[in-house]
Amino acid sequence: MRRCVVHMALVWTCAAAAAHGHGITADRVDGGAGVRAVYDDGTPVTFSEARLFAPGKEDKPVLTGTTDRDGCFMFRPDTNGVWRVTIDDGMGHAVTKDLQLDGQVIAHKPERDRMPKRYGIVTGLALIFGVFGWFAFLRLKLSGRAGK
Amino acid sequence: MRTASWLATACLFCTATAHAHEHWVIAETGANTNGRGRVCICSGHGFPRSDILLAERLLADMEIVGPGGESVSYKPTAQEKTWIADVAFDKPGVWVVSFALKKPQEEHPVYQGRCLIVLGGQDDPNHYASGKGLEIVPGAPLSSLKLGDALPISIRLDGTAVEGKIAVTPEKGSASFLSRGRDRPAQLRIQSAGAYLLTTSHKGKTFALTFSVAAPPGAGER
Repeated sequence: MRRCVVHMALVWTCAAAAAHGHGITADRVDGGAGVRAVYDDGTPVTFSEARLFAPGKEDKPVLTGTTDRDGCFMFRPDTNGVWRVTIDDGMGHAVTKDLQLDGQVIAHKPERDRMPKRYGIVTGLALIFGVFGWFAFLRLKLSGRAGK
Repeated sequence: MRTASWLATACLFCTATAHAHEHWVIAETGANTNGRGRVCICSGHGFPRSDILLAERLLADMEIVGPGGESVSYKPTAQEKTWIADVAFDKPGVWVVSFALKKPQEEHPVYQGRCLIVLGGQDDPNHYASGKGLEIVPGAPLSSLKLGDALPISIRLDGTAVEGKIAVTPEKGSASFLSRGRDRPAQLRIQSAGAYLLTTSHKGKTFALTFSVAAPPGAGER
């Protein structure tokens, strides 16, 4: 009986650990920098190709995407310098904007909203032993009563 | 003073036209091509020459409707600044070639283009309109147009005539604008043979129509 319980606990722990290996967490981030592109008549350049080049790295974009429905493209600079954004609507209109960013570098502060993995394992084990402990305790008590 | 005003007006006009560029579809059909032809999706400032390659992700609704109403889609490939597809125009009648520019995230296209081709002299203006969305509709048979003729042109939105302005860019000659009233179709005076590009905009959507006017008999002979 005891061997079986130990085996089950181990299997449960391994399964829980493996499941955590593919998990994704999402944290809220605030701030950042960006551009808004508009046509000459003031209408936003919506859903158009946007490319971001980091300071000193103009040969390859560090981020690609599209402008949103308001013509905005946002990013989080991780270094100071001139960040270049190009926006191309694919119909012959394109714009390049250089953004000088000094002291606006955003350090990432993770805002955890779920339990770290190691605590999860400890909690899982505690639950397993707790449940099986209660089960064993009740069983002992019932067998004691039956013996009387 | 008057000269200065004229100069200012001319400068303004030139600036406006320099910024505007159009997108269109045009078909090339030769006499000895065994029913084959080329469809070209173009963009730029110098109609009919294309000088901007449109982004592939925007190309949509590329189809050809034949004289019998049968519809086939075509898939162009990029060649320099033009998207080109080899297609079959194997029957006489009115062929309607169309395309649209649509952003993948949006439901409706921002730009639609259509080319009308009349083969074998079997013309029918009833085939010029689809009755859907914004369109420019010629009101007379294109195959019988001659130099000096006035072609009635209407703008329709889901089949209903609407007011608006039509920009006319002929292959030969200068660009001009036509106004279309609610009950009065615009009149396009045919001043040269060759291809014509007509565009109109309504509530943020633009429609472009191309067609060709045949050269008068003997025009190319010396």
